[in-house]
Amino acid sequence: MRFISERRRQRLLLLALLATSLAGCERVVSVEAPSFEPRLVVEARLERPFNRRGPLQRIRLTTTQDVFTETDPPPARGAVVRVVDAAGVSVAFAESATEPGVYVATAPMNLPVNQSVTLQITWNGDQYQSRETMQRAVPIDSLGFTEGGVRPGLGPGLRAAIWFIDPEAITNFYLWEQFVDGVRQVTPDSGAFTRAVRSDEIIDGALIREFKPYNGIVVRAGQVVRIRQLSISSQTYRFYEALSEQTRNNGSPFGVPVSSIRGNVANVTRPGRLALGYFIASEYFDIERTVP
Amino acid sequence: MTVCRVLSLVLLVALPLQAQVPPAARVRLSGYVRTVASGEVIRRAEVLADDGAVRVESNEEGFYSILLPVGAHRIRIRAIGFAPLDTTLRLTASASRDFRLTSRQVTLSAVTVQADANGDRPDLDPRTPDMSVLRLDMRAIKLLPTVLGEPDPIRSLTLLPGVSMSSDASTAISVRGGAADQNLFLLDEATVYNPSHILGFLSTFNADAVDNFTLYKGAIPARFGGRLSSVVDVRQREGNANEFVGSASIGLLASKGTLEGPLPKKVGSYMIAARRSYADLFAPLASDTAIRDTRAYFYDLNAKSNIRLGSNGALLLSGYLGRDRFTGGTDFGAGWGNRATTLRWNQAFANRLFSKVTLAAGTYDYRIDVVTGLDDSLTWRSQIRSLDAKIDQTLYLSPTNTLEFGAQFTSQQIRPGDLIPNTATETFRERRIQPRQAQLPALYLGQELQLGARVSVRYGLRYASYVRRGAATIYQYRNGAPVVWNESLSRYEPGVVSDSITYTSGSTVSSAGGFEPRISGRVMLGQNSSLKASYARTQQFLLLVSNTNSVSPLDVWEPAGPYIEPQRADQYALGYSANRYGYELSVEGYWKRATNVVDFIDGSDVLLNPRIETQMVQGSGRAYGLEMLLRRTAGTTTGWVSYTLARSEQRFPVPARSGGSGTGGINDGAWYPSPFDKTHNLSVVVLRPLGPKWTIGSTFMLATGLPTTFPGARYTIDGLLVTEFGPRNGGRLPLYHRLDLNATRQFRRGELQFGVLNVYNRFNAQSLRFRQQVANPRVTEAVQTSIFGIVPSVAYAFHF
Repeated sequence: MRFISERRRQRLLLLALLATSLAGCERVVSVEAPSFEPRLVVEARLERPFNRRGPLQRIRLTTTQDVFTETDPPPARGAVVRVVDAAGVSVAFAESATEPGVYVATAPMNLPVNQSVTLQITWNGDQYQSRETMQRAVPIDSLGFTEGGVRPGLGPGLRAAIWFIDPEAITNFYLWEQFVDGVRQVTPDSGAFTRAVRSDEIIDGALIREFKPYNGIVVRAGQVVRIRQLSISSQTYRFYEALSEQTRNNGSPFGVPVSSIRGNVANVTRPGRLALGYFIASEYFDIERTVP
Repeated sequence: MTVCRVLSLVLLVALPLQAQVPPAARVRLSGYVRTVASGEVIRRAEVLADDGAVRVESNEEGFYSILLPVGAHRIRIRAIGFAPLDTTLRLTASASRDFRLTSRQVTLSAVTVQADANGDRPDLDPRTPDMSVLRLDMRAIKLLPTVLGEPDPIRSLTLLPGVSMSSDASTAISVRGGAADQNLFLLDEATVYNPSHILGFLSTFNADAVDNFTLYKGAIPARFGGRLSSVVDVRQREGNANEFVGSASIGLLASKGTLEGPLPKKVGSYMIAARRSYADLFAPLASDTAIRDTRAYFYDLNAKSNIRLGSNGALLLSGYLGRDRFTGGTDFGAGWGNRATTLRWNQAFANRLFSKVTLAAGTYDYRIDVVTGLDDSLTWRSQIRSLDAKIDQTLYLSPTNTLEFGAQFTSQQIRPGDLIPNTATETFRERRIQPRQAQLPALYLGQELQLGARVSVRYGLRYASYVRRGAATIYQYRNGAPVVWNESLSRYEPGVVSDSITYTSGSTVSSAGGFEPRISGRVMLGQNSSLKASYARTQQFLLLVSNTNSVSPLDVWEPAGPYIEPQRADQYALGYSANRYGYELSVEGYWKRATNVVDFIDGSDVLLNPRIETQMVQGSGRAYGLEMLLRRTAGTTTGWVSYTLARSEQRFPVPARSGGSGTGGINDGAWYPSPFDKTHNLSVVVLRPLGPKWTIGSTFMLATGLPTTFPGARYTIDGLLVTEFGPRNGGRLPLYHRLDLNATRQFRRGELQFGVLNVYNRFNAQSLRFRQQVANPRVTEAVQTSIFGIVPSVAYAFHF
């Protein structure tokens, strides 16, 4: 749980420096980065809406690329992708003809909560595997819009806020996604949340009021805002925490040292060349409302 | 234990020698070395009798004791920064006698800081067995360039060999490649756990309030213990015992004042110093609302009183209180700071036994108040507190034989973090990480022997133990592994809790301990040069839980326990020291190895974590290097050149209980540069007068860039560019260099200082990171951050 977020700690430093008439500065530099053999990158999120079936599942496979290229990530084509549920039912994923590297389930999947599912990928002669447990979603009671400018630095303007009750005596990890007019709010701006994740360590069983998972994003009247609340596993929580820390890192003395992020997809054939990315199985609750 | 056995044997052999009664024709002369102006004691002054045939040093309390034949003796007293005193005494019986030295009067002229090539006490004295000891001349520090006019002893330390800073924004130092938490800071013998203000930007030590700043970076005397790399022994001034005086200064960063004078009936003296930053007073004038609503300031208060108990004793009461405050608007407030209090009784018995009995307390805490919603607010607080009782005895058997022994008992309590809802909220649950209680008893015995004219040796043995006490709940993990290496996913994961054990209050949770032999010696190669060697073992039972690039105010301390082994280090050093023609030269090589050093796993979550042992790994460290210090103490231009060639590495192989199979872990368990590794580190310090009123001080620093981690590839997750990194600390930041200047104009009752930091505005990268460009999300940028541009400063100090 981060009540003193990294951003705030960086603000502490920044303001201290301002107080002494100093300001640290930054500059973009050229760095030599070696080329490496591409590795598989997995974005596999099996999602199911709360208490109902969803659309066909999609999995995206790409590869790593040189650090300073300016192209889209290369798709990982020609992979054999399969998901097996706890009952042994296997569903194949076929590569999309229009979206290279995107693999679409060939049949609907049941995905019962609290049961495991296994992802199997064969690509370039290597077999990859990952296992997750489908997480039960927690409903959102309501979505509203309140001023977010109480704290200095955030500025005035409406933010989307939600109300919900955390289930008592159950360890929960949450991931929130916010869509504005159908566009998911993901920004490389280190000042905004890239992904809002929380554990319920200190809010277990509590009524959560006016929680703004994307406090840095101002919404305007007439916009349609949708918030999805996903329940995630502890390993997925750690993955997104690490992802947030690394993408928010602004180089301050109080940032964490840079490090690689490790997902949960193993290379069975060559263990040293594990895949990057994640495999998540999650139920979600979503709520939508127009900003008044 | 071979070294322990050898030391024990030497002690057994040496002790009977000490018991020999001095010849009847000899008498003992003892007392204090003091200043004429204020009556304060002068530490580490040299007392020479009969043209140097007999030589002793005053101790850290200014006390000396010397054994001489009955008759007339020529006595010479030498101390750094003081005029030499030569006198003749006729001794017919043992006597107590204080010597008073005159401070060099025109303190701001280089004439005053220079040493007389023949008459002054050199700092790097080849005649003492001291090794790897650095002492700061507080008056010289005030002439060097400062950060916004505020002299900082810790920043000045980094101009000396073997000491480096992890960041321009932090005063957390690394000594001989060690981590920042491996340095013990003692203020009048009370522990200062986080010696910094402004998030580490400035140290807590007010240069006007302290008169001694000694760093032991190897061959640490046996009376010190508890940290792996160094001890920084800071002593506050005792105040002017002759008259009431004061001083005040105004700088860009802070203002401060000092008052001192004799106690009523001249039974002693007192000193009070206060300092406060005041940039927050101008915040309301800012146009930016964020700054206008922000308050950030620090203050500290130093006080000391010295009550004389006859001619041979003193009672000293010393205190420090420092606090930083930061508030942002109405919904965020934070404060952190140190408190240190010491009560000490110094007494000389029979002119030969100097006794110190000390009670000391040190506390560091922080508190954060956050408004989390319209009706919700939280307080988050953390604290470490220790109480020390110490007895230190020094027995002056003869001018060539001194025995030191003592005991120490420390009681420690750590509250890692309490999160407390302030209102009748239903949102947040109270969360208290269980406090840690520990006790640290220690004993030591040491001796300094002069063996003939050429050889001198100081050795000692310290036994320190650590007992962690309940009440506590200790979690049990599958296979006894709190952190597990997942081979197939190449990552550390928290261990699986299998059970827990509850310990009642006062019961023993775990214990550890061991002997710490220390030895250093010198062989004179001529009248002014010597060869020195030393060995020291150190133990550390506490670690700072910090997974950020630099030490932060929110870091908490964690004691050794069932899953965290005490850190241990062995250090060997060999050196050469010479002093001639107004130059002092010291060259030292060292080799240090450490076990159970700590690093944190990738993505570690260390704040308010009840199972902190799941977030860290322990491994090995090693450091070696060559240090050189060449100081010019005579002549118009004085100063020094410091150079360090060093290597500091660490490794963290995965233990078998955590799933290790020879591979895995950070950098596959191979040695890699520690975060503090600097191959080359050069400092040049020059002080020079310009006429009778002006003094120019300049410093130039040149150092290899700190280690950093370079990327190997990138990939995309949910539309975000993510960097896949190569080996940890596999690259380097660019070369660091900086020139700072300072000019001091002396007036009859004050000084005016102008300074410029980073004169040629060098961009010194403090970090390297990789970010996704906002304008073009397909582009990854490499970004370096620096702290100091060109920074001017001005300060004025006046005395009354």
